[in-house]
Amino acid sequence: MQYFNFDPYSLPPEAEELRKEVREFLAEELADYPAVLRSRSWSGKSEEFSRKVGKRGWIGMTWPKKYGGAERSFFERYAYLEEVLAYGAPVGGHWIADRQSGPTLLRFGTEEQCQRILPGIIKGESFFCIGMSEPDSGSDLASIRTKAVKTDGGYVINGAKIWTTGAESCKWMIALVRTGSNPENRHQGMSQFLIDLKDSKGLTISPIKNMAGEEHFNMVVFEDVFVPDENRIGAEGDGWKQVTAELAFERSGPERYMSSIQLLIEIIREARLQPDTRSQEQIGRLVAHLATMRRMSISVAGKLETDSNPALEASVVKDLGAIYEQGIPEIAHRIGRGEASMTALSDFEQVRAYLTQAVVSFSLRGGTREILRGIIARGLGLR
Amino acid sequence: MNEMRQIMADTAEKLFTEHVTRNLKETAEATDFPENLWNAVEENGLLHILVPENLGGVGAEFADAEVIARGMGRHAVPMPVVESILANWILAGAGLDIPTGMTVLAPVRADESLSLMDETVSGTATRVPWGRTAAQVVVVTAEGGVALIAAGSYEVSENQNIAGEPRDTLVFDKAAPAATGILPTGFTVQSIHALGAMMRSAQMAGAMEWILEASVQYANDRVQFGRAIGKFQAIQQSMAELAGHAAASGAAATGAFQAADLAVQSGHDSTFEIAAAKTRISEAAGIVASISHQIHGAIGFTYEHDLHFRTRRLWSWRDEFGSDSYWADWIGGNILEREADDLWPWLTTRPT
Repeated sequence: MQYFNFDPYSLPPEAEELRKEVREFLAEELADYPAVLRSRSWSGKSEEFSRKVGKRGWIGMTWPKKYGGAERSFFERYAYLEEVLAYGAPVGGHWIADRQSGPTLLRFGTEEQCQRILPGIIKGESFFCIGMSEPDSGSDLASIRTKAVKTDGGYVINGAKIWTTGAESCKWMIALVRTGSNPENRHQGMSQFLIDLKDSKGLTISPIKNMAGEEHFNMVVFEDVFVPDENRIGAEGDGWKQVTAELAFERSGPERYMSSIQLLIEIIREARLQPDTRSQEQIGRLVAHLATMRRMSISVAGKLETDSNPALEASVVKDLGAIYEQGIPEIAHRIGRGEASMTALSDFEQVRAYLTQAVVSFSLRGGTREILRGIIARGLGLR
Repeated sequence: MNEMRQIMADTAEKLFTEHVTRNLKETAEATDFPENLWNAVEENGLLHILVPENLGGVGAEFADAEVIARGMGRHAVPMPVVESILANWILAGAGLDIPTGMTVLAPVRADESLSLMDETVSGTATRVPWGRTAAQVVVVTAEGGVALIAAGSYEVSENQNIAGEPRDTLVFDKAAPAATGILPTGFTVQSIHALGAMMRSAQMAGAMEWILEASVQYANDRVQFGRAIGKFQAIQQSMAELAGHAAASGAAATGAFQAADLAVQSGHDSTFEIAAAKTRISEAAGIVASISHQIHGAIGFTYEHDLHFRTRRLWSWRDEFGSDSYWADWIGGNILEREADDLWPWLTTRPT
């Protein structure tokens, strides 16, 4: 009995070509970009940098040419993703739009929506945030209460979304809201909407400071916010189906095991100054895991390329990946000799201080460890 | 899976399913070697899978041998099949005739070496799988020499691993080889040791496949508090963790065999991929064993249940041909020779 399949894939030559281009671009653009900022990985953002990436044609690179895409393969995109993550480039601005919002529109949106919105994403000018969680709905996403009521020419939305990374600077949110209810099946009666965050009346966006001192997520309150019909994505009531597909994109990329890689690099830099057998063995273990995670992650990318649905495999990689990312600060703590601090002089201690705090969120965002393991258990036939 | 690999997988699966009963495993632990199964494995060509066709072998790739090694682990086959596969491959590579009967490999530990001087072999090799049963041993020296030595030319003292598999000490005192040669170009005693680690990696991944399946089955069958224990979230979370380690182990093992084939084709070194696999999988071995026993409860702790044939092998195999500590240290040493910023460029230019 085979529960999952991690067939090996090799990245094709065109992906390796693109990797070189991306690497040269990053070396030039980010030569003086500090290690502690790199360690913010795909949470770091720079609008200027996003526009430059857009200009190179690397946002929405797999999308149809008619919207400005490059119709490249998932493998090419994968190599690009690996490089920006390995470099710690500030890709946070366009990350969500590129990873999941664009693909959601391509899959479920209208031709008009694609024409209206995708070109801006591709240029690195139009950013997206995710409107899924609510104050009372986290892992139990189907319990959302934000509600859209049909009115003339559109809908009126009331409710609140929370943990919306980037809402303060994004043009768009894709919000999952209730358009109806069915006591028999709570997965029915949800729909997705494009919310114009820059140009809608009745929205209040308030930043939420995280424990590491950053303010990249928000609470977004809807008070009688009007959304025109042309901003509904897909059919009314199809929201759950669509959001499940969106989550498959959200969970399948290399960012699910590479978010702490800057600390691994700093551990190696530190250990080279004063080599000892203790750190040597720990580094060996971390690199053995890194190589294995990469192999599994590329396998998931291969499945996306060949159009099979790797939801189960993606959950396995995300679960293992988060454990790996969270383990790196613990290893750094064990082999380090100083004290971690955001104001330390050494890059190692700064990066360690940041990631020690940041990693707690890595098994929460995009589906908690417990939810992912529930999905895996279902895949094993246990539920 | 290509045709050759499928044939090998099917042959091994059929043989092992048919023959490797609980009784056979128990009897083997009481040191009664399963002669009939061994003969069947030999007749079906499994031991000569890596020997070129012009020398009477199958001429397959390492990746084809992986399916046999996985089957060995899945079924907990109490025989030195992977050791014989490697021994015969070494003999063929050294241009030596391949004898009939069981051939095993020595030394199997990185910290031991045997010398070949004045056409005789001297030294001690411990932990040699089935040293007592083998008709002959292939000795690889630190200098890359190969010597085939018949049983009777060395002293054997018996020992075993946690799983009750024979791991014997062989003492060579100016033993006269039946034949001598040298390792194929590009191979050293270290790389042979690594190939042993690669085989153990696949065996462990195979054992984990069985353990995962058996644990799912048990969790669905065993009823407590009025429902299958697999319905409880606590069990589901543990099972998902087990499954993750089993999946990673399978992927890592396949990567090692793939790299070993690429190494033969293009002459680069595949030790890293093997070291990564042996490290990752040996780490997983303890976790997988622990979770599966927790799921199985008391029945899994009995000798009567089949689980221990795999878990005791996991605990043994994770130590053999270099433990996770040994290989992690090796990887770390290599990584620290390079600039920190070279980590990613280095990893991504490894051939795949």
